[in-house]
Amino acid sequence: MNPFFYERPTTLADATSRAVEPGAMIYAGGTTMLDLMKHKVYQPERVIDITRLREPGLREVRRDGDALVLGALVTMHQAAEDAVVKAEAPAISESLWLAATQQLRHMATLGGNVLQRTRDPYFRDPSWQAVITRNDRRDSGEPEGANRLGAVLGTTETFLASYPGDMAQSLAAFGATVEITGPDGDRTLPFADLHVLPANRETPEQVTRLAPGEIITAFRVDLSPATRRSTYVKVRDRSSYAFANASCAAGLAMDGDTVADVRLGLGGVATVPWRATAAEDALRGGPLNDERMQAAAEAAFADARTFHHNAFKVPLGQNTIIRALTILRDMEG
Amino acid sequence: MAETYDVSEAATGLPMIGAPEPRYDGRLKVTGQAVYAADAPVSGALHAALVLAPQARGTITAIDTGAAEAVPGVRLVLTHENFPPNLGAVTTFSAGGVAQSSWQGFESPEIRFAQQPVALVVADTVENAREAAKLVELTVEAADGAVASMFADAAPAARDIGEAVEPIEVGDVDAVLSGAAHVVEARYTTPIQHHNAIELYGTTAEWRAGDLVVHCPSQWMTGTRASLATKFGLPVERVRVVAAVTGGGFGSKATVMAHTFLAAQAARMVGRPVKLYVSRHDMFSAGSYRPQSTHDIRVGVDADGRLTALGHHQVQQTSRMDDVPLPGTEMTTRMYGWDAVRGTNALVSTDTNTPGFMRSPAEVPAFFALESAIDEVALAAGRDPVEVRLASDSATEPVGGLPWTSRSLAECLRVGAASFGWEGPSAEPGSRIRDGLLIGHGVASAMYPVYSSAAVADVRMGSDLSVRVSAAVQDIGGGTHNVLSQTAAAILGVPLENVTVELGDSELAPNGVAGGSRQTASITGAVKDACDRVIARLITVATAEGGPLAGADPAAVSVSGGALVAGDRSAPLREVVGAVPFGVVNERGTWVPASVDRSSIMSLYRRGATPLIGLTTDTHARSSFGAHFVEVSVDPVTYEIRVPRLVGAFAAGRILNEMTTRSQLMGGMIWGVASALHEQTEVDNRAARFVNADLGEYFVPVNADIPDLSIEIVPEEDPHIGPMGMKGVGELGITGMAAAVANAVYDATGVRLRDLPIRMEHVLQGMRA
Repeated sequence: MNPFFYERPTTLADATSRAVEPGAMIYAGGTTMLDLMKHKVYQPERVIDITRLREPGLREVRRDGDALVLGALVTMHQAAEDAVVKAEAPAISESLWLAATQQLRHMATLGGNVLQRTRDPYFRDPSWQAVITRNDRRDSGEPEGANRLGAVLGTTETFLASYPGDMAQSLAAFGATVEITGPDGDRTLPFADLHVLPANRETPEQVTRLAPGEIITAFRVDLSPATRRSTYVKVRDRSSYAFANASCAAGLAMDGDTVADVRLGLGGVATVPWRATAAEDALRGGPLNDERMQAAAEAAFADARTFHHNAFKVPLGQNTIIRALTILRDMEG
Repeated sequence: MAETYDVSEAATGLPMIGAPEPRYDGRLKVTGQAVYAADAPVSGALHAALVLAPQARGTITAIDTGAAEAVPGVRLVLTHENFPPNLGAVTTFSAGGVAQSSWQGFESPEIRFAQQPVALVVADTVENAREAAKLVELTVEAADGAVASMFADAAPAARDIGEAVEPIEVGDVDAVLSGAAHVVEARYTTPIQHHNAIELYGTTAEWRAGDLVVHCPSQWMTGTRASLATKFGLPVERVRVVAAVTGGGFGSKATVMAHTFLAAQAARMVGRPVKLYVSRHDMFSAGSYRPQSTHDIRVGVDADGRLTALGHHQVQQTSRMDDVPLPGTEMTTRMYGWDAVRGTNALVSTDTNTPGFMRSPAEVPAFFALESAIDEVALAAGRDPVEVRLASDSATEPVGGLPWTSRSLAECLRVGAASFGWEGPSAEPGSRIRDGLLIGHGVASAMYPVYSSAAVADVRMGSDLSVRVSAAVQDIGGGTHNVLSQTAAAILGVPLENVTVELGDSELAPNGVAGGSRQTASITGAVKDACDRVIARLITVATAEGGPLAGADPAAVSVSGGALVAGDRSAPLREVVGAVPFGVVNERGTWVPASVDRSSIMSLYRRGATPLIGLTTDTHARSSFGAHFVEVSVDPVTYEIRVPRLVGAFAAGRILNEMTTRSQLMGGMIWGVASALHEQTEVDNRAARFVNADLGEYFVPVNADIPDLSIEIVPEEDPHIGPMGMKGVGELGITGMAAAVANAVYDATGVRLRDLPIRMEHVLQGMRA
C-alpha cells in the first residue's frame, strides 16, 4: 500500500482538525477500510485512528429519556449484546448479530459500520478499470456484468451497487438521528439523509453528507412501541457470514386491530439504507392482514429497476417484508 | 492378469476396520506449529509477489517497471523482457508429464487468459513486493473475442474428442429407449469451481551451490522435482522439493504450476532465497480449477423399474492451450446394469488457464447429471429412486462385461436408507412440512474408481525397536502419516508410538502423485512389502547358525508379541535386531499392481510418473461405492435452501483408520453440499474474467450450514485390488452429493433444477412459475 501518515489523536477536537486535512481518512476499526487500502481502492495520505479518543460517550450505549443513544465507537458486539438495546430496540441487536462474524463484530464500530462501502466486486478491484469501459463512478456496479447481488431500489440506469450493511436498515426504519462533530462544531442529521442516493450525488465521491473533517459521534433513536416490537430478517445464501440478498428491519405498534405505527427498513436490495415509506403508508391505519401485507410489500418495490441477474430481488424483497411483518404480528405487543 | 490377495486379518495382521487414531498433523496445524512451504526457515530470503494482466487475450507491447523498481527494497522485476529464453519445457499432465499448464512463465509477451501473471516483483519485504507489484504498468494490444465461459454467447463450438477419448457404445441405446416404459431426456450443467485450499500456493526457492531447493505445497514430490530439473536443465539429483505439510490440496497442488518455476528463476537471478506469496485472489488464475460442463442425458426404465439404457454426451470446458478431458461418461456407462449405453465427449476451448483436477474431477459433474436423471425417471415411473437403483444393480459392468472386484452399492443404499429413515419420495412434492419449512428428501449413489500405481517405501528398524517409515509422498490431509505408522506397527508387532513417519521430501523413496484417491492404498502396499522384508531379514538372522532360533524352519517363524516365534521357541525382536550388524535393519519395499508393467518403476524413480490402473483391468472393474441421503429445507417465503440432515453410507474395502476415513468422507459430503448450493466462480463475459476471486464472495458452507451429518462405513472385503484390500476414500464422499441435494430440493418444492449451483432465485422462479 502507499505510504501514509498514521495519526492517533485522543480528543475529538484534535481528530476533526486532523481529519479535515486533504487526503485524510478516519479509521474506526478498519475491518473494511484496511481491505480497501490493500486493494488500492482507498489510498489515504493520512489515516486518523479515532479508536483511542477519550470522550467517554463515544463508547457508551445509554438511555437518554425516551431515546437510545449509541456511541459511534461502540463495537458491533457491544451493541448487539447490550441489554437496553435488546429490550428497547431488538431489531438493532438482531441486525448486528446477523452481520459479519464474531471476530469482525469485536473490531468494527457502529460509526464505521454504517459507512461501509458496497461489496460490489468491480469496486473492490480497481484492475477492472483497465478492461471495462466505466462511467466515472467506480462504486456503481455493472448493469451488464455480474450483478446478482446488485440493488433494485435507489438505482439509476448505470448505478446498482448495493449498500451491504445491516444495522443501517434498523436506524433508517427507526428514523434515527446522527450526531456529528466537525471543524465547524456540532450538528445533527436525520439518518435518512446521511447516505446520498446515487442520482443525487453532486460528485461521484459524495457517498454521504459528511463534510471533510466531520466525525459521527453517536446515533440517537427515539424509542417507541414500534422499536420495542421490532425484528430484523436477513435472507442470504448461507446460514452465517454472508451479506443479505434481502433484509428487512421492521417495527410495529398496534392499536387494537389497527396498525398504529409501522417501520420498514430494507437492505440488500437498495443502493443506500432504505426506508420503505410507501409500504409503511400502505399499512398504517388499517388491519395487518395478508392482503394488506402483500400490497405493502408490492408498494415497497413499485419503483424497482432490475438488471440482468437480480430480478429475483423484487419478489424476494417483498417476501422478506412479509416475513418480518408476520413475525411482528405473531409477537406479543 | 487377475490379481488375488489374501487380505484377511490373519494374513495381513491388520483389522478390516482400523483404530480411530487422531491425525498426526491435526494438533500441529491448529496450534500453528506446522511449517508450510511459505514458512520454510531459510535465512536471507527475499519476498516476491505476482503482477497479473487484466486483459484476457492480447500482447504486451510495453511493460514499464520504473515505478515498481523505485519502491524501496525492490531487487528484481521479472518480466518477459528479462526472462531467460532457454528454459526447458515441461510436459503437461494431460500429455503424460507433470506441468499444470503449457503456460509456464514469462516466455513471451502473449496474454492467454485474464489475470495471467505477467511479472514477478522481488523485494526485501512482503509489503514492498506487493506495493511494487501494483505499480508495474502494462501496455497491452488487446485481442478481441476472448471467452472464459463455455456458456457465453461467443463461446466456440464444441469439438468432438473421439480420438482422444474413445466413445463408449454397447447395444442400441435408441432401440432400448424406444422400448422403455419411461424415458427422461435432459441437459444438466455445472459451473467453474476453484479448490480454495486454506494453504495458499506460497513457494520458497533457494539455490545452494548450483543445487535447487524448492519448498512448495505439493501432492507430487518426485514429479515436482523432475519438472524443476527439466525446466532448469539439472539432473534430478540436484533438485530437492520439500513440503513438510500441506494445507489441503484437492488436486490443485497435484501438478506443477508456473509460479513454482518463476520463484526458482527469480531466486537464481537475485542470488538469494525467494519466498513467493500467491494470494487467494491470484490463486484463481495461477492454478487449475474444475471446468464447466454440460451433460445431455437420456435414460430409461422398464416396466419393472429397472434402468435399461443410458445416453450420456458430455461437453466440457478446457483451455485454448491444453486439452484436459475429464470423461465422466466412462463411469456413468458402467454404473448400473444397463442393457445399452452410449457415452461421448467433446471439449470447448476458452481463454482461461488450463483446468485440472478438483476432487472427483470427472465424477462430480457426471454424477450430478446421472443421479439427477435417475431420480427424474424413477419419479416418472412412480417408483422409489432407491428401489430403481437396487433393481439396476449388477455384479458386472456392462461396457466390457467385467465383474466388479467388489461392489457394495446395494448394501450402502440399504444401510443408508435405514440410518436416514428413508420413507421414499413425498406423495406430492412439497407435502412434507415442518415448522413452516418445506422438507425434501433426496438420494443419490456415490462411486469413485479405484486407482493403483507403483509405490516405494523405506522402513528402518533399530534394536531399540524404533521404526522409521519414509517415502516421498505427501500427507494431503487424509491421514497418510497415521495409516503408515499403523500399518508398520501392526506388521512389525511394535507399539504405535515406536513408529515415526517421514514424508514430504523428494530425497525420500520416489513416488507418484497423491491423486485419484490412490496414495494410501498404493503406498501401504510398499510399506507392507518393506516390513515383510524387515521380518524376513530378521528371520534369516534368527534362524542362522548361532542365532536364537538356530535350526528353525524360516517358513515356520512368525512375529507375535514383540518376538519371533518358532513353535515353542521365541526370540525377542529387540534381541534379533541387535544381532544384525550395527543393530539396524533397513529395507526398501515396493508394490507394483499386477496389471502394471514392473519396469515402469524406473520411470517412477526419474519422473515420479507411474502408469495408473484405474476403473478397469483386463479382468475386473474396480470402484468404491456409496449412497447419500439428504434432507433439505426450503423456506416457502424467503426461498432459503438449507441442509439440516445428511447421511452417507460408504464401502471402500479395508479401512486402515476409522477416524481419518470418516473425516475424509465427511469433508467430501460437505464439499458436495457446497458444490450443490454454494460454489461457483462467476465469469464476466465482457472481460472473459473471473469475478468473485476471494473467499468473501466465493461461497463455501459455514459450520452452521451443516448441522447434522452422519456416516456409515459398510464393511467390505476385496481380494482383487491389492495386498491390503483397500480402495480410496478421498474422493468418494463428494460424488453424487449434488444430485442428492437437487433431488431433495425437487421433493421439497416440485422444482427440478438441472444447473449448479442451486440458488434461492432458481427455487423462487420455479415455485412461482
